[in-house]
Amino acid sequence: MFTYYCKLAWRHILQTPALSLLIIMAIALGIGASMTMISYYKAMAHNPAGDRSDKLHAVQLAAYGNDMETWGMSDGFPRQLTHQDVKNLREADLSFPSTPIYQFMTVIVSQREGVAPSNDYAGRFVDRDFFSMFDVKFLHGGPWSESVDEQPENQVVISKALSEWIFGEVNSVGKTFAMLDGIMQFTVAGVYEEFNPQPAYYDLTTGYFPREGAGVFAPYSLVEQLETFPMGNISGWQPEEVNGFKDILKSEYVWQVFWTQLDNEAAKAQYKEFLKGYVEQQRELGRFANQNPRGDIKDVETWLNYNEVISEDNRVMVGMSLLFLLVCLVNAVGLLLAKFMRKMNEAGVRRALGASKGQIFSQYLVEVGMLGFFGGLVGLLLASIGLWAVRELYGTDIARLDFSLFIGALLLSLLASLLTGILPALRVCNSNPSIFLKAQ
Amino acid sequence: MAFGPIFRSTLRNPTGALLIAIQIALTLAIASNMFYMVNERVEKMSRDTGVVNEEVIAARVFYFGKAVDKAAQADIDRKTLLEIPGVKSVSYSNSMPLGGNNNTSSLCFEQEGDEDSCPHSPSYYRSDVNFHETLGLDLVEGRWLNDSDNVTTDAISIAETRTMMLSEVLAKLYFPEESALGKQLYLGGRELTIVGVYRQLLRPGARATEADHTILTAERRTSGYLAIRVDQDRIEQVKEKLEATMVGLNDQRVITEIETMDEMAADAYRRDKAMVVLLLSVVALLLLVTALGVAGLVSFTVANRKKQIGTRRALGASKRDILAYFISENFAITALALIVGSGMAYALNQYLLQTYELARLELVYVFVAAASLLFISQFATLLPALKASKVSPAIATRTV
Amino acid sequence: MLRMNKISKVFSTDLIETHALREFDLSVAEGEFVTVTGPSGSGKTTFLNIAGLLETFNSGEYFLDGEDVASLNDRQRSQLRNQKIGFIFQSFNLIPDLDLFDNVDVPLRYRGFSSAERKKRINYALERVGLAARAKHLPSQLSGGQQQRVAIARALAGEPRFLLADEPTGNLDSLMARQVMELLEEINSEGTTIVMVTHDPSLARRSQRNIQIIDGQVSDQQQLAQAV
Repeated sequence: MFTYYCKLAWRHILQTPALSLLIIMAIALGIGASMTMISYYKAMAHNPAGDRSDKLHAVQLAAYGNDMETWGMSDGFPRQLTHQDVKNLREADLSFPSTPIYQFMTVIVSQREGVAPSNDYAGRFVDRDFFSMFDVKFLHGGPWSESVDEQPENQVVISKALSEWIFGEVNSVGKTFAMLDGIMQFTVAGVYEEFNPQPAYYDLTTGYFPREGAGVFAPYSLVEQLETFPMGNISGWQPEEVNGFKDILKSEYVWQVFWTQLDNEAAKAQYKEFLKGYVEQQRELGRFANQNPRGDIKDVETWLNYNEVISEDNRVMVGMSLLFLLVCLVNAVGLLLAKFMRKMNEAGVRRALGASKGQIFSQYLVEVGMLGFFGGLVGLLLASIGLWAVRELYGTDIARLDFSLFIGALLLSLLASLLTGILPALRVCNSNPSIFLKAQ
Repeated sequence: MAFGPIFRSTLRNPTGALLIAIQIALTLAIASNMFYMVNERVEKMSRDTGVVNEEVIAARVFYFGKAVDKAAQADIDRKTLLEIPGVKSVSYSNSMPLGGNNNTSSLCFEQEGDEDSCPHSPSYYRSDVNFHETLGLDLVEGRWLNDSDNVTTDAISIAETRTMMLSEVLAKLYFPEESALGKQLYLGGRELTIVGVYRQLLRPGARATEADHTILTAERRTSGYLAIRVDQDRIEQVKEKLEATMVGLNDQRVITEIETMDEMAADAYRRDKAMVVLLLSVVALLLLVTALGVAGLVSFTVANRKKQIGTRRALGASKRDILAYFISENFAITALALIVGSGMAYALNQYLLQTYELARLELVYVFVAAASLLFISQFATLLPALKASKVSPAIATRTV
Repeated sequence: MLRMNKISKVFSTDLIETHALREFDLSVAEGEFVTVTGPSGSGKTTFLNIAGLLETFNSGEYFLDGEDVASLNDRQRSQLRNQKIGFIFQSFNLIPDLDLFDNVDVPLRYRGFSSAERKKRINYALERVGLAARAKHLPSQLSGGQQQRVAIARALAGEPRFLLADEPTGNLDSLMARQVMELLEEINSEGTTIVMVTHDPSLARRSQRNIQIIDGQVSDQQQLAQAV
């Protein structure tokens, strides 16, 4: 019977092309607008950490004094850490993989002819564990050796694109180039394919959806000797005399993030216990002089929500687009009624010839479903145009249609149209057939 | 034409009318809130920066060589740039209105201030003494910062600064009854004396609220943002030559983000503009869909009532009467829907208020949206109603 | 074949109740050709709709081929209608956008026949009414008489035991009306029971029995010929 209903539906759609087109467009516009906003939302809500999400933890410390009640975010923690604390966490006697991160901008000198030095490159100081914790895929070479985290050496890990820009080739492992002041030489330890997770959860202090990935990774052990100023947020809670890089290192300014990998509950408990002890110890040294000195760890999912990666605008637009879909569907109900009313006589004849109410209902619901399917297809087309517009407007590369959205859009439009079709289809199958059979 | 019979006839078969009403009420609820949000953003984007936008270029200057006498270099930069035809003023600052690198600190009445004595957290500019002239700020009272206020050089904190200027709004907030001149306030724990008040200067970034809470301090700035004021008709030429000129003077630095104030504003308000474009697109589509829906449903009603219309015509109704019949029927339905829709608009706004930090809907937006919907709905009725008025009276006597 | 005992049907609105049928009694035997006449509004159509299971009734009993239909639900009634009853209407009621083949196909689809079986039956039914060659035509391409013959083919395709005809010749000129009537008589002679509502006394006279309905009741029955 289903194929028979499909055949009838298709025939009926062709018979009333204008009305059918209006219904399809009404559904398509609603689906297109809502899928655009939902896709964008979904891209923002994406957790790129995957199954490492509940293992990686950002560390926070309420490291402020003056007997203040709260500082930083709503829960009384600043997002970032002081250098003193990062140094202590890094040197703590714990076996968990961990890494500090801060961003710098650097000049890089290309070795290709006729290419001028550029300072547009971002770099980050990290420890060796960064690469395994954040799943950086190497094309050539690998991270610097473990000893470099203790005994600083001028080694770096660079991206494939940067390797090509400097050397004109992808495999540059073992080669050296000039960075920072344009004179100091650094040796390439590894080249990675591309590392730009969206959102850039590993360092949210420098933008959530950067177009460019991190270019250069340099050993954190070099920080004190290189004296490279950070490129990003620096916040403080008290006035401090800071006149050079060495002053920042000693200050209470927060400007770095620290990640540690805790694979199970026991590890988490152990780390929390460690933070408690650390806070106590620092308090005895006169730091953390606030009303509630404490530390905290947050896994990736929590960290993304905490940093409000999804903007309020985005939520509002999703809601508005769903309301728009609702209006489109109310519209479709009216148009479907108009379309089906013309078929009352036919439905009466079919009833007289032995069709049950259920069969008539199914026949019209199949037709609505078919309209919904076409509406969904056109809606997907509109959504891809909409997403293009959204990418242009917001200047990002995220939010593209993928397979799950494709299926989601079709399901949504089918569901929406079937809901829409119930009233008109009931109207047709419940009407008394005999009145449509008389001559007038 | 009396409304009585229209209502009765509509009430007997209410589905079509009900659908029109639901659609219009929903559209009003959504559209008025959207209009409101759009207007909020447009107002934000068109705020006065306090700067002579059309004459100002900014660029970021970044040194990489370590052995550079930046102070001497800044003097050379200034001298050289001022020789370029059209350049009127040159200044270094840590940040620019609508630009990056925002320094914010709480401004307190007391040194060890609690929350009550620190009511606001303005952004403060750390610029050389030419900054006000380069941006074209207006003095309200007191004096501009000069060489006597110029203490530190590119330091990270403002440890040695002693004086500051406030925006007019900020001065009024702290000293509503008297002049702020000569008063002392604590900026991040440091005591500063107010020597002047300027009319307006926006913060860096694109904050929606308290955007005009700003402070000016002076220092011997030599890097960060370079701001240049140029005759409007020369601005493009200067912009093009800027990087080459600056790197030509010293190649141990890089010049990036060379932008006019208008371009900086476009960057800063990118999200707001995106929101406006998206909201307006949805509103436009919404109104289009509603118009088509109304037209569709009215045609449907006309088709259903063909016989009735024919009978009315046969009984002496003129074409005008039939037209008036459908127009007034639509008017009644739309008006009722708009009343219900206003309530829904308010309810939706309440929800938005609670869930997001949106402001309360002003009545004027509901009126504007309602008026446009009434117009659209009546207009959408016109075509099918005209068709109805052309129904021949002869149809009444035909059987099939 | 058909037995109605004290059937009553009331249409009620807020203000008035209209008694369309009042304690209506009628029996039709297998193989009979019965005509039903009566003035406008007498209840002829209501009788036909109830007989054809298109409408329910308020009280009384109705047995169709021995089955008490009052207790059946919509699905069962539809099935019964599909298997045992064929309908013919004054205005033909062909589905305008289906060709003749697909029109005749409609009741067979609801019967759930295989595609081969349907094809066989459709071709047979169309041949029977002399329109097999026009199977791909649309109803609008045919004359009124031809359309009514298609409607008869559609009614016959499911091989019903019982044909209900509502003024089948009302929209036809006399020549075409006679052809349709002859076709119906031929079908009846092959054993199909026919109940036909008509205005035309000359047609009524050709049947075996004429029933006159006035004010929702059988007022007069005339035996015109012996059942075969």
